[in-house]
Amino acid sequence: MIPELGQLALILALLLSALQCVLPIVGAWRDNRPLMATARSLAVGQFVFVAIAFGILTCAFLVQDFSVAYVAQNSNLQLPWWYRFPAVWGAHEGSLLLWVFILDVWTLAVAALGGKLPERFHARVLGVLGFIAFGFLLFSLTTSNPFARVIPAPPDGADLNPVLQDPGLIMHPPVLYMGYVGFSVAFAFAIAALLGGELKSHWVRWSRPWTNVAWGFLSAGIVAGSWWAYSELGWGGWWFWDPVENASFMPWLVGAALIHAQAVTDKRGGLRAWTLLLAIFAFSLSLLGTFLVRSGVLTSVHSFAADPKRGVFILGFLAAVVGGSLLLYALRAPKVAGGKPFALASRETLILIGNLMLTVAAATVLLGTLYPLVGEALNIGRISVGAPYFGFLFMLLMTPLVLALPFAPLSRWGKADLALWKRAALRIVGLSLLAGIIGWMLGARGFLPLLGVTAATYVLSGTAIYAIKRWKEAPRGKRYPLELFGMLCAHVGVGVFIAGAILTRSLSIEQDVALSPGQTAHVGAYDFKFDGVAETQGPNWLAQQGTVEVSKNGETIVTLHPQKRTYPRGQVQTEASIHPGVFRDLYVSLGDPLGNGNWALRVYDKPFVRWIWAGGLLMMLGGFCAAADKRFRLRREAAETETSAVPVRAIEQNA
Amino acid sequence: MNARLVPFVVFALLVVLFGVGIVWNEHHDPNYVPSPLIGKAAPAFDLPRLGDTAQRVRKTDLLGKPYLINVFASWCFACGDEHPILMEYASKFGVPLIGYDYKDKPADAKLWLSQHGNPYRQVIADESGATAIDFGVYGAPETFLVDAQGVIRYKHIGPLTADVIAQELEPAIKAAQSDKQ
Amino acid sequence: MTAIERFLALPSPLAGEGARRADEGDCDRLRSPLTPTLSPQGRGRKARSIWYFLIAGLLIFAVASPALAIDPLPFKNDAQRERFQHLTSQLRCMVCQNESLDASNADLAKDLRHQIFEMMQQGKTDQQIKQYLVARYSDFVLYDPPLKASTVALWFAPPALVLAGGIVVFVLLRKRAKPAAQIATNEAGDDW
Repeated sequence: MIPELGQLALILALLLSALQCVLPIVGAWRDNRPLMATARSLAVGQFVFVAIAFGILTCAFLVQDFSVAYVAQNSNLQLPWWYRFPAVWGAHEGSLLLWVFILDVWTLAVAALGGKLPERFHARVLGVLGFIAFGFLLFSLTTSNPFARVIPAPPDGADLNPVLQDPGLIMHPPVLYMGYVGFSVAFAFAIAALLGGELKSHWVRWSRPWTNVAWGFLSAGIVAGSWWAYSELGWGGWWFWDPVENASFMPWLVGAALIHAQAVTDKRGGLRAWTLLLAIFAFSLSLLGTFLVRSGVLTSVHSFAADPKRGVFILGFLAAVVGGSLLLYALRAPKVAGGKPFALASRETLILIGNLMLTVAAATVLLGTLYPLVGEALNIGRISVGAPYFGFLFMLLMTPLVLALPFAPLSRWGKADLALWKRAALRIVGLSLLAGIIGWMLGARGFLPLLGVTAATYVLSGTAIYAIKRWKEAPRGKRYPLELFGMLCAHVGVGVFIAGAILTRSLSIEQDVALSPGQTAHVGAYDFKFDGVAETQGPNWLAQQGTVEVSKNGETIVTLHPQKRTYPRGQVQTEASIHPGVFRDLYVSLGDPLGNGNWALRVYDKPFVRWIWAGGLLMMLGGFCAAADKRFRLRREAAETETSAVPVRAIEQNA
Repeated sequence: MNARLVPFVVFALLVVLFGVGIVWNEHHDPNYVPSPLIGKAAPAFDLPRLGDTAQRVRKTDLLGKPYLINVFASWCFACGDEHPILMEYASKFGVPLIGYDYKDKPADAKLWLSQHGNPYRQVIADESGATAIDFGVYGAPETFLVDAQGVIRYKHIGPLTADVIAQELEPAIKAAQSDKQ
Repeated sequence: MTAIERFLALPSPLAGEGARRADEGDCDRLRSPLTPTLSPQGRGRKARSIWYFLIAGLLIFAVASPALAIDPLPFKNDAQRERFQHLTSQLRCMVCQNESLDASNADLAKDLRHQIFEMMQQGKTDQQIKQYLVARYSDFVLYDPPLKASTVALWFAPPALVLAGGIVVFVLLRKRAKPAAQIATNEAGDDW
């Protein structure tokens, strides 16, 4: 009975979203205040019903109602309660419901916090968000109903895939979706601006905090996914350029470009058309990513074949939303270049160059991800595109961006200041070379480790030089406005990430060893003593657990317990044992028994791997801080200059 | 106006590509990889007969007539699905059907064949799988058509079905047979 | 056929969709945690298949060996080991096609790794080893797409895009550039 209520709630939400995408838009077009005012209530109502549906599905998992097909497929009696709750988004139907739920969270936020936006604009934004919700709710109800029943109810469910039984499942999808889906707000703002024919660019300032927060969440979501792949899949890697990963990375790249383009448009008035286009692209890539991972079009890297009906539906929706917005852009984007002019060696130019590289990088990732599909469609064979392609081109494309990065804050808006550049360049390059030499003395040999040290120092020292300059020159109390602080944080994050990524890649040691109990393997600077394997068990698994004592120079550092777990349905999962550290991770995976008590083990020494995620989290922090700057908070006077002429008409009517 | 339409046009092309992709996926095995050995000489092999390691079968022994090699194993579920088709068509192919036991224990294979039936003219065993690598085998069942000169003319990946036999394998067999004149 | 059946190396009770190929039961790894794992196809089918599968599941266990990729080999020295790891991570496993040879648990992957090891001991170069595999498995075994007529667009589109974008940016800058002194501060009198 209750799951049917969930279904009913979704249907009601669908109806409300249908109204939400029609009434406010019509109201804004016709300048009709009552119609525009419906937007907020409809948004709240839709949120309530989707929340009810989501809550009902969660309850079905918690009480283990196996009459609901989705619960039966993704849970079983032995699944511990802390995984029953995130199992809600463990497969297609539930994660789609999560998508809609998070869209509604953002819509609610816009409805509640956007009160100071001009009425017509606000109504249009909510209308666009309503249309997106409508499409996804329709998709869910027609092709992916999470409340479908299985009669008779099986006595026990299948199980949540053991790979998903990890803390990562609790964090990664919700945080990722907050980012992914959050770009819908920037998109809605752009569409509202196009619909309204806005010539001024005030709307960009309004959309900046929303965009920054979404990008921050997306950064954190990607970090969570990478960390999860590293700790759960057991092969020491943290990024595979897999289509699913690329699907989240492309919006991130375009989002980064969007944030910077918005800054230029907000402060200098220029690049309005580009800012609009980037906002459309960022969300389009989010939708595209949703299509790619659920339609089965790239099945060669998935473990399932999707229903083509779903593929067709999302494709249709994608065509409508993205095609419609690009057409709207072609028709109504500002044709006259606006904004203040700027010199060739100014900050605007550097941001343009950076945005160009970010956009081409996103296009390259898209090309590589889709190329196998092109190969099949044009019948030119089965083409394989993997990490060597993506990694190589990505590093190449990011080089100009990294070179320009420290200089952008040091530049001025509009003006060129070559003398300043020269002075800064001397210091930055000097410090980078010094760091390279220190790295060499500390033992870093080879091109890649030195590149890592030098490039990271280049970015970090440039950012530090600007921070110090700002401290010296700006008046007290105004030294680091939050927006600037956010920028510094994010740029430091870039430097830390570069260090982590390049140094891990070049300095990691991986070794497969066959050990008998009591034997020690020497890997890198560490000794790994194998103490045999014993049986152990958990809430829903039995495991063979190895004991490995890790020491350096005779001193024990940690005892690791890698496991091979067997789950109720017979699936076997290797659980690596990791000793995290700021400067290096030690990582052991248990292999197969080789007879006579001997076991194969895979041992890793991974220096600086946590810096990769620390960099990503610093970027997230940067995004959140920048969004919190009070200059973005709307002042009623500034916003009201954009309101419609209705109040005047009302006065005239009453007169 | 023209420049502004570029993103829309590019996107429209992308939608067409995806539409084609969805349709393509409906009709093709997503794991299918075309073999580079079609039209090339089959690898020279020298394998023992199943259960009788004294007797060996070499590629040179089989030259002169086209023949089919069917890669199977007792641990392969899909081979079990394919087997009834082989039992039915083995005599109808017009060319000898040679079983290629892939990475299997001979005892298991013999038991499996006695349970499911033996449609093969002879069965050769590749316990280690080394020769199979030369054939580009990446999973059972796979079926090769080798012509009289020892050139691989056709390869099917996955279980044979009546449709595949009628539409692809039989024409290939006829072509290989008419060549040898 | 649902992915769980494939996951557990079980035959589909709804045969007629095409029986699954052998060895795929080893491919139990999801490349990314968020890959949706299941896709039931229609309600009626869904209900029946779950039932059949649950019964079958009680009787049959998965045959996967989940850690075959951990494979100690007698390397002569660190450099050789690193070369092997680098090479195998650039090659695709043909069975579990979303994994590299370095990481895959498939039987075939293990065989190929040993073969590659042998070839390294015989003194073959990376290029020769790759050619050996491509001759048997086609270009698909390489993660790095070789430059051919079919991949020209793949390799040259990114630099072409940079060039095209660069030209657009350059034209834009020429239109906007104004020599020297325009006040660069924003409304608050601040350069930020």
